[in-house]
Amino acid sequence: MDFLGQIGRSILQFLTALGQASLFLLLALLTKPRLKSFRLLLKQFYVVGVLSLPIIVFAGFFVGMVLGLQGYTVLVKFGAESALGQLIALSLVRELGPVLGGLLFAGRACSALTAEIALLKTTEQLDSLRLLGVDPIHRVIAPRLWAGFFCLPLLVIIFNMVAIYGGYWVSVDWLGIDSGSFWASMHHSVDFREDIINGIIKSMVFAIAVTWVAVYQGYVAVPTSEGIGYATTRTVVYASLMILALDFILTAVMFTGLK
Amino acid sequence: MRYGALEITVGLFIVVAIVAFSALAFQVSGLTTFYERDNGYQVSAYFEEIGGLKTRSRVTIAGVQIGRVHQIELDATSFSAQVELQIFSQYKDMIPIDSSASIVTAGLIGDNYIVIEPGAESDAIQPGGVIEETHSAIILERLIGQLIFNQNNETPKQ
Repeated sequence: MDFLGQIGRSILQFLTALGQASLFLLLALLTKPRLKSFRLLLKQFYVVGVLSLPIIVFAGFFVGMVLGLQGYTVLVKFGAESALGQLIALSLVRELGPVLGGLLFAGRACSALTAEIALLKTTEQLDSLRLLGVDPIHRVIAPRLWAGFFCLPLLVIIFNMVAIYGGYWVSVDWLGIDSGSFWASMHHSVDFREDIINGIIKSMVFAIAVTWVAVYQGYVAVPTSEGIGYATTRTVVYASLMILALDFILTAVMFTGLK
Repeated sequence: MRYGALEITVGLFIVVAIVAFSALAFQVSGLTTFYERDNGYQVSAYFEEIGGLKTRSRVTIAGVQIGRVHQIELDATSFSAQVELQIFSQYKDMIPIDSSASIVTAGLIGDNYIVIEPGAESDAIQPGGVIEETHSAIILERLIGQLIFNQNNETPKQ
């Protein structure tokens, strides 16, 4: 009996949290934008997007270089090293770009979002906003959500391009693959709609999932210094796991029919 | 009106992302359909076996790309593959009418593509024309199968 009760309680708790989080998301997204909220959004674009740029560029460059080196050692055994461009571009655009970009984003930007909102709650600043007649969901939550939604796809696009150039540098300038065949094998295999647009759609889905998790965890954090720590940890763990699980589902839907 | 440093960096970020997106579109995926639609003309060829030929595969003469495979369909009456080739317009009036097309493989495990052997006639294939002489793709498994079959036939005579 205890066992059944435990299952029931945890399921009910999970469903309650899911319902709360969904209502919270709806409330935050259905706010009427005002001219003043544009400046708030701009600030969040800077914090969430621009400040994540260095880590994205750095990671992208090294991921591309490793792909080039590792792909070369495998492909050269089959005499197919001219397909290296294809290998690098397809694996980046379809999988590695959205997933690694999303994981980095969860670690760099989402953890900061959660900690910031949880600290605002702990120091009772959200409550004082409410006392002033300002809805904290409109003023604090909504701009962070929108900024997260837009910044991750942009960061993933930059990640992909930097990584492809990193791979280009290793394979062409270092390993001596012909520059023409590098780009040509890419052109033949990468399709704009099937690969690039699908990869961007993937990153949009990840962006919605991880920003939502981050903002919600910050908002419902236990208002103590320990609570902030727990909330930040939970954000990074949940966001990373969601990215990996969603990636499997999206890949199964998008790419199984393709060659 | 002057803009703050915040606005300028955010603007720069978005511009960089847009540049990266167009680089992905044009340099990586080779998106050229915007201006290629009216560029070039179509010629068709019938093959008995196309192997792994796909749309967007190369069409070459002497190794130089002169076009790409536009469409592949099954011809319902002859059960052969009807392949539409899109030839770039700069090669118009250059392919002799008695040319032949064959499907070959780049390397052992590479992509299939089409090689056109120019003929000797002075008349060129017109847009919408048909390449009469074709050589089908060589299926490696079938070749190996024939080889084994021939060897098995030879052994009892010895």
